[in-house]
Amino acid sequence: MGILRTLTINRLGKGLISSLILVVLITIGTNWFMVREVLTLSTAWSDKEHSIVQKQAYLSVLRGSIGYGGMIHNFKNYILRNDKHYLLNAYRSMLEAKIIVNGYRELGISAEERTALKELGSVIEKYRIAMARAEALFAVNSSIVNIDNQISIDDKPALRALEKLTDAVADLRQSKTDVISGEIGSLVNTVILAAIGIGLLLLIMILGLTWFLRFRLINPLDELVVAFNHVDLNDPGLIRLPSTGVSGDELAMMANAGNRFLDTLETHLAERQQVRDQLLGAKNEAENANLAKSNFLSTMSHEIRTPLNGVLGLAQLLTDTKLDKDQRRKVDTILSSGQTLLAIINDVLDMSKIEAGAIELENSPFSLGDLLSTITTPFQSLADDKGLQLIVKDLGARKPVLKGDPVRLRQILWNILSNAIKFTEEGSVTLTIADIDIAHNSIVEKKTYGLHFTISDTGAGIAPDRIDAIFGAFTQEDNTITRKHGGTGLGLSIVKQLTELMGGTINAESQMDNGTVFNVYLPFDTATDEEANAISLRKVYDSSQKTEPLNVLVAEDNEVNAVIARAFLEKFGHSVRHVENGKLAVEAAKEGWADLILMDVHMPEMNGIDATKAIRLTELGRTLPIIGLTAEAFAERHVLFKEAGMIGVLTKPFTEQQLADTLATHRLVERRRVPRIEKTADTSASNLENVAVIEDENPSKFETLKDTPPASDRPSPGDEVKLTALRNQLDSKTVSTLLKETQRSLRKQLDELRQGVLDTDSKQIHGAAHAIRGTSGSMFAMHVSNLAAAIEESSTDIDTVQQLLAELEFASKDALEWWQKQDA
Amino acid sequence: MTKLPKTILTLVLFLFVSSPNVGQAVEFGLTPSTVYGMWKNINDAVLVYANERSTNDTWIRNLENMPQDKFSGKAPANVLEQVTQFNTKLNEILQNKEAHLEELLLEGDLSNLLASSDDNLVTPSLVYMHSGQVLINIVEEIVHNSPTGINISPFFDVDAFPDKTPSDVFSLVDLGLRYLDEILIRQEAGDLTTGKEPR
Repeated sequence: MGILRTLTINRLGKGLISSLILVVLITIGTNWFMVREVLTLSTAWSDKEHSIVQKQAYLSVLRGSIGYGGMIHNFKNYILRNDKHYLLNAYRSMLEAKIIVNGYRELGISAEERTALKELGSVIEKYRIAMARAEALFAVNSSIVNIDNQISIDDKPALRALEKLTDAVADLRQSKTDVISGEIGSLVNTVILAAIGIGLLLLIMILGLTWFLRFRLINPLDELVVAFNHVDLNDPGLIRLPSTGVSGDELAMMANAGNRFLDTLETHLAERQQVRDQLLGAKNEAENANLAKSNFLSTMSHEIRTPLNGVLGLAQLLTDTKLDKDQRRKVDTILSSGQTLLAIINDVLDMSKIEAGAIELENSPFSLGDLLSTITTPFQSLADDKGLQLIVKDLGARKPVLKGDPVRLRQILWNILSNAIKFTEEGSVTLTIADIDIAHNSIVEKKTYGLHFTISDTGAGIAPDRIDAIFGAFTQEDNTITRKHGGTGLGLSIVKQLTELMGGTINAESQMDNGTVFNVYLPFDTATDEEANAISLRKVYDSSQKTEPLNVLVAEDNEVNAVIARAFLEKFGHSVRHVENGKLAVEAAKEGWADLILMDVHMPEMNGIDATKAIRLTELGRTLPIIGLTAEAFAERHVLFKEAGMIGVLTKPFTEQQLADTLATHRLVERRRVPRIEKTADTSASNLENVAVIEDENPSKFETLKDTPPASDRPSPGDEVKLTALRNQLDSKTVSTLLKETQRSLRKQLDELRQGVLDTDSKQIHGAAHAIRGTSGSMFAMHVSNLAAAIEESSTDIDTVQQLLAELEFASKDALEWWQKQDA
Repeated sequence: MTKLPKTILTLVLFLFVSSPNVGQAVEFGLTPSTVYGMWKNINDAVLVYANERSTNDTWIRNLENMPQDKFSGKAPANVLEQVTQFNTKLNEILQNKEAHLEELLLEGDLSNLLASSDDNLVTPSLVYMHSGQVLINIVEEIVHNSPTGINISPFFDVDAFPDKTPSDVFSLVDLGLRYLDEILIRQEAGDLTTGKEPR
């Protein structure tokens, strides 16, 4: 049994081969034995048959030699006739008989045969003697009678002997038949036994093989297969492959090898899982860090820029007070440093966006001429201040309307021109626009139209070994520039990356003391005729073009904003209904009156996000268009609003055109054609700060435009330019109403704020400040709005609020006076 | 037994025993000593025959006194060859009597039984068979020439000559051949009587 337990496939194979050889040998041996037996039997049969046949032949000869025609017969004839020929024949027969008798003895005889042959020999000898005596008697002339009387031989013994021999031969044949039959029977038995033996041996081998295959091969293999099928590749350590436990068994070795494989796999999987967990953790950390970064940037945008605006605003206010020379120098330094800091923040935000791949370029139709005018106009005053000549040369003969990202193009040209003017002390700065073949090598993304912008100056130039470095982040030609001119060194890096994002290239050529030339190559698409016409028509406001009137529900807690929205919408020909919070908006939406809702995000009772979600749950509100109104410029926040169910977001403060565009974008109304705000030469960059951002526009654009005022800008109670623009958009009565309502709201909100400060109620402070921020901002009193924003952000810090409140009181007084003056 | 059944029986026996399955030599147990005794009788018969045909007593006595040469290393086959030569010469002497001289003992067929079917081994029994026929022939000639005058029984006496070898037998046959040579010489010289007419 020990052997059976350790029976292996290898051993089985050897055993089978050995068994087969054994079976073959046994078969051969058995066959050989049987053949030998058959041959022996055949030989024995042949021998016995030969002997019997010979004996029968001899007996026949003996009868002839002794009997009639033979010895006795010839002898008697001789006696009767005395003719020696008979005697000779008798002798001849005698010789034959003697030969045969001798030969018979040689065949092997029985005792009975021996006796019979002896009697025959005796008779033959008697006759020989008798023949000699008879011849002698004839020689002496004895008579035949006398001779016959003297010679008398009894023939009966010879006859009996012959009969005995005949019987013996017959017995011998019978005996031989019996013996042969017995031997054949024995041989048959032997063959049967051999066949049975071989059959049993084969049966044992087959049973053994079957046993082995069943219990040592098939069953273990089945168990292995079952075990393999139950192996969980996610946790291979749960299943162990069954091992027969017999050393040297191939299946056991296979199972052990499989288990080692599973162990290794488990180890690898565990390691991989560990690495995956680590990677996942790192990914989560990175995502959290990215989220934190976004939050940080958002926070920085609000938390840093808001107080910075406060700082700048107060500094600006200080410049309006009576200061001695040293104090003015210090205030100017505060203003300059604050503006630099604001620019740095904007650059950092832009750079972060670019590096994160978060910038999505738009492809919208725009007028290149209009875009250039919005750039060159503010820079013209800067150039004039420095005594520089700003030259613009448009050498192209293109269609006036292209398709691309006008905001980013403006940002590129703005940065380069800004640097050119900044680093040029005398001479000129020239902007040249020329058409180039779209197949030009400098155009990477092949569109339909190529433009080559060249900005050259007569400044100090850039050292040749620094040319390539100026496009790197945080890089300027040398460190003294930073000290002299300020800046982060991100501007050109942003320009280069924006250019490349737009499918173009940028390079710079410079010679020391001979100025610098920047070449910007950009591809654009050409606008369709319809798009070009739309842009052209925007320049011509036709108030007579009314659209299909809509019922617009305005949910806005700020009365001023609500009045403005109502004024614009009614001007478009729509009916307007105003509610003051989200809860009322939900109720109004259920009535089914509204075709559109303009939903402020921050409202008491229920904010705009919750209200939107609630409306979307109603039957009528499921498909009702809702556009959010918010002062938050970041696209990340806009995404949240859209997730709540808003189809678009309009950033406050917004212009009539932006509202019209938003409605048009969402196909709510036909796009309103309103007159474009024409920029004048003295329009400062700050004039652009209230350019609204529609939906997903990059907030950096808003920040850049908003927070890049020229140094010559001075704080004032309100923005007369924008107010003038508003006057152009609305009738004077409406503007007057707005101004009055604004003053009333501000006073009321100031009272709430003061009460909140007295009660140290942060929530009331926050709410009142938020309201003041919106009210004043809507009517272009940005200083008041900025201070209110600062209070809103610091609502939990009563000391700071109190300090800011004093400034707010002062600024509010100026604003109220300014509004009164404007209303008058 | 008539010739036909005898011949058939012998033929069947021959065919059977000469078949591959029964290829065994038939041995009658006769020895060189037995053959030797027969050739003593044959040579005696030749001398009697010579005496019958010649009146030259001197020649007869010379024959009778002819010495027997010594031989050694002879096999039964050598003896049989001598016997065959003896028969040839006897045929020359008997001339017109060849017909019955060609018969062998047992009708000339049984002798085949005496040879090995495998290697044609010449046994003493085969030599005896041929010799017996020679004896019958010469005695028959004697009887033919002198039907009553000579007793033939002595030629068939059985005397014991123990321990004889084929060489000894060869020596006797050689002596008989020389007898026949002498008789043939005398017969061709016309010194012998002619004997009776052939049967």
